[in-house]
Amino acid sequence: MNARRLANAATSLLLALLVQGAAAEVPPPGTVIDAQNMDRYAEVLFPTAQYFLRNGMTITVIPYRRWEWTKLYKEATEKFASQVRLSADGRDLQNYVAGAPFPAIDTQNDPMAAYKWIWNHEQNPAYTDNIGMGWSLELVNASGARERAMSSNFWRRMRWRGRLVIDPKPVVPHEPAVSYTEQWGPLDEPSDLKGAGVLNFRYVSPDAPDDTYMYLPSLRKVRRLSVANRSDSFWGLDIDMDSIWSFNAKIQYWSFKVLGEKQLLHPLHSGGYGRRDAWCAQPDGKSGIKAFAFCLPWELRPMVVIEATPSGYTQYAYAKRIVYIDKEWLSTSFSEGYDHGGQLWKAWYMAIDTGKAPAGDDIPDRPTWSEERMVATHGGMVDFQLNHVSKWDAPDAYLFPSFGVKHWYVDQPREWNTPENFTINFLISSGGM
Amino acid sequence: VHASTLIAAIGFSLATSGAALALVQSGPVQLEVKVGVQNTFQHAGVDRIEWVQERNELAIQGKYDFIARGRQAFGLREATLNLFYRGRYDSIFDVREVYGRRGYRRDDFRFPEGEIPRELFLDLRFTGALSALSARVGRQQIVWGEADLFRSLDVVNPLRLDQNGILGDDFADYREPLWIAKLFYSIGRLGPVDEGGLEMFYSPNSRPLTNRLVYGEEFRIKLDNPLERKNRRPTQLPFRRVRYPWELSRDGPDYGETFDQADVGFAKGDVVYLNRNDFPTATLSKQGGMAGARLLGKTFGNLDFTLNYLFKRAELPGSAVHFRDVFDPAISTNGSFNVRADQLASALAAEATLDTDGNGIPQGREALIDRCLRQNKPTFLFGSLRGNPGNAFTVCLDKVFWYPWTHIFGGTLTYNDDRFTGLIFRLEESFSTREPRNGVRPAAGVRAGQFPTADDFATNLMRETQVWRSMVGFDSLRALPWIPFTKNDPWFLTFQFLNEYYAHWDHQLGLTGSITDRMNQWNPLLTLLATGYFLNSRLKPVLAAAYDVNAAFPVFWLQAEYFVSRRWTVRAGEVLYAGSQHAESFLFLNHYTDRDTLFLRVSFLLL
Repeated sequence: MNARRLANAATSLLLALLVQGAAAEVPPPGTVIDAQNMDRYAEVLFPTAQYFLRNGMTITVIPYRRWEWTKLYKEATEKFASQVRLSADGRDLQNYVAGAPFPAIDTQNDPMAAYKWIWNHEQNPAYTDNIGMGWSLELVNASGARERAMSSNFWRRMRWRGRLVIDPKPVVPHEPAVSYTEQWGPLDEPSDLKGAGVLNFRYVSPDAPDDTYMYLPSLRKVRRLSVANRSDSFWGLDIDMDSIWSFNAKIQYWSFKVLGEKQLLHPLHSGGYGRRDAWCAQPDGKSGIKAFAFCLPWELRPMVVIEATPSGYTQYAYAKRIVYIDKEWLSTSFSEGYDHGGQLWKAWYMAIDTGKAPAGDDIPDRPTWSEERMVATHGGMVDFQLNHVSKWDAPDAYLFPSFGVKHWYVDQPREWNTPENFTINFLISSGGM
Repeated sequence: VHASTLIAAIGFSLATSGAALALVQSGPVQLEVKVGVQNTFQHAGVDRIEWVQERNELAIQGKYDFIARGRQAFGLREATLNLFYRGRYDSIFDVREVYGRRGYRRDDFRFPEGEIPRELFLDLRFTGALSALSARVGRQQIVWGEADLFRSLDVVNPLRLDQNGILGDDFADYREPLWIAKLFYSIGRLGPVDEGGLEMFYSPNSRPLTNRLVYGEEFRIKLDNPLERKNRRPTQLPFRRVRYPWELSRDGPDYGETFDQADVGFAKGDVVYLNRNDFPTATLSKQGGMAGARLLGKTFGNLDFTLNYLFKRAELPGSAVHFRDVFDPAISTNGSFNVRADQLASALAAEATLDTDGNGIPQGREALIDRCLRQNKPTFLFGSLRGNPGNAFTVCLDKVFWYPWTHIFGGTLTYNDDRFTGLIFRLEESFSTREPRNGVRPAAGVRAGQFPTADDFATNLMRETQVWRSMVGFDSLRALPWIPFTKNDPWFLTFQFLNEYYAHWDHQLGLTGSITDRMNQWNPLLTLLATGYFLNSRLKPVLAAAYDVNAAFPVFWLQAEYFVSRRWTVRAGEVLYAGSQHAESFLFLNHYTDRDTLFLRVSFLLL
């Protein structure tokens, strides 16, 4: 399908999705959706899902399962939500301590509803203190051939406010105040980037830009990077920094509006942890776009659709993003970006495995949690116009289940995921050479 | 024939057999093995092309975690051994017969590296009361400063410049790792500073690498037969002769012999400088010690800063010419013949001996030539060793390399101007208290006829200066969608204005030591570089230009690296030294020496 046809189809679909009472079927559990029957279920499929279905993906529909927040997150929400205030322009969250900032949103009538959903997404309950895992990524072209691969056993993110589990909490002091820090790498491959890593600081202040540092072994030193153009892809990938985890932009630079609320299919209890066969096809150079997609179970979820428009940039590659927020999770697995010609351009997508442990009794050293947690097992960023993808496994499913694989951890003390380890010195040290 | 050839052959066989090898990454072990071949051609425009390099390289990079992540033992929470071994076999010196004839078929040229691991260090992080402390101990690189390719604060590790040109390799490949113990203490928040840290290190191994340089055809490439000096090829015609490919300058001090001309007023003669580099070459030496500290952190206005201090030897030597060994300071130097009486008597006695072997040189003078060139002792003799009929005598003088201790104070700042320009601004400033220079040799230019003067006796031609080094630059990371093949992939663009300011510069030779190289007080340089990852991360170009303002010397570096597959990488590049033919750049860029270079590298990831 060419880009224009896809864009037109996407626009039509999005409109159809948002027309209340549209006559379409809702697939019951057990339904297998594919290219042949996808039109019957168009109402519950957003454009990215349709693109994958049209190119060989199958979706097995499973029963909806409610996801409960953790006890601490619930308690914090009950305790602190009433004091949270949104600034008049929606750019700033005031008096926030922990938990969900806005647990009850009148989506239909509140003019600031979209901002509140996005702030909920920013402080969503998937994790409150820290999170991390190992991963691998591959660039795959339209013929389904792998062009380049990257991997790292060391991704980690730490929240500096809204903390509920690990001391210090709820805030780690820092000047200026930090929302979260994140380190990508050191990379294990490719060879030319082995040891490279990126450290990012997201500050709380609406006026403080992110700080990003990159360690490059070929220079043996850290460079401070300008991230003014966060919509540009990096390292030649299809991924831009603002798209990571669906919507990773600094909220203050955006305006938002609610497009509607819908039941949509979403892979939230999808299993597939550490499995390469979770993908519909392997990057063998023959499978085409089918190799972009995962063939895992999806379920109908209550979602709110938000349109995000960049307003604080002098230039931004996307004209808008459509973000699909799960109303229980408060976050999202999917977001779609449109270019300035109004064409659908790229989408972030990922499959979530939710439970007290990843699904699969045969997982060596399987991580476990006392309450249900969610981890993203597979995903990527697809370029609809070039039919190209940068897709990833977390943990590294090529390495799995070898001894060296790094499992997910969520809100669990890790000595390498503490404030003193989100430093330039640690970035250099962790890079080895 | 050689182990590295064998390894390269094995690598090639594995590659062509399609063997499915994977990155070794199991539990605490990571290992990567890579082989590569680089062929390089030097050329002067399109007139002359020389095949100057066929480098076969084996690189092994490994890591071993003694303590599993998340565990503790012996008061440590991390103990990781890092290894980087690089063996090189420059087979061109075996392949090209002309290099054999020139005497370049030597093991130190053919196997420039590989006796010991290039880098080998232990990363340690502690527990309990020492949890804010981390250490890196072993052979390593320490890179300070914000400037690229500029020796301001990035001076901890010396440069190896005898294996390749100044441009074309990764920056980390030029630095010589040293044995260093480094500590880092995380201060955290302190007053107006956040994310503060204090880094300190000591190295007993910071010996300057001037003994590794190839300077002209004389330094390191010694002419053992004194009579060959007659046939010494002119340095003024660098493109018309076969040379060592990576010599640093077309002219300079000779390890055993450097020719100059003395003018004592009523007569002229040859001068042979007997260069001596007595600096200890032992791995561990107090004389080769170096220590440094830097404080880093984030402060007002989102500024990142470092404050740096280094105490070390100057990395480039000055030299002390010992005139007193041959000349008498008690005799007036203004046009008087002031050779010491004992040296004069010895020379006269030599002239009185017979020429028993019939070569036209009295046996006594031959003995003095031997004393000068083979025994490297200060000598005065009649006649010109260069065979110059206009010169009546020859003087052989000790010239001893001199590396003074220097204190270097410096600092860096970076500022993220996200709001207005989207640029990162970088600043770097350093001040070195004492760096050696050489006075203009007493035979040149205005010094003619005054050899040596009272000042020469007093100073041995040693000069020194304070040096300020400055850099202001900016980086931009942005896509240029109008470029078809890069579209929305960002280019990393970086610009630098660099300057070296010498407090004392008059009547001094430039850093290259060349007679045509003059010292300037201000030495500005501009650089611009663009790079990025394009074509789905498979193409990494480097487009760079530099301009030395004083020497009116532009240099261009155009390179493309293509990642053919997970294992195969091809890199091709061209470095164009489009500069002045009349002056050397203070950065050692030299139109004569750094001939335009075309290189092609193919590397294969074995493991």
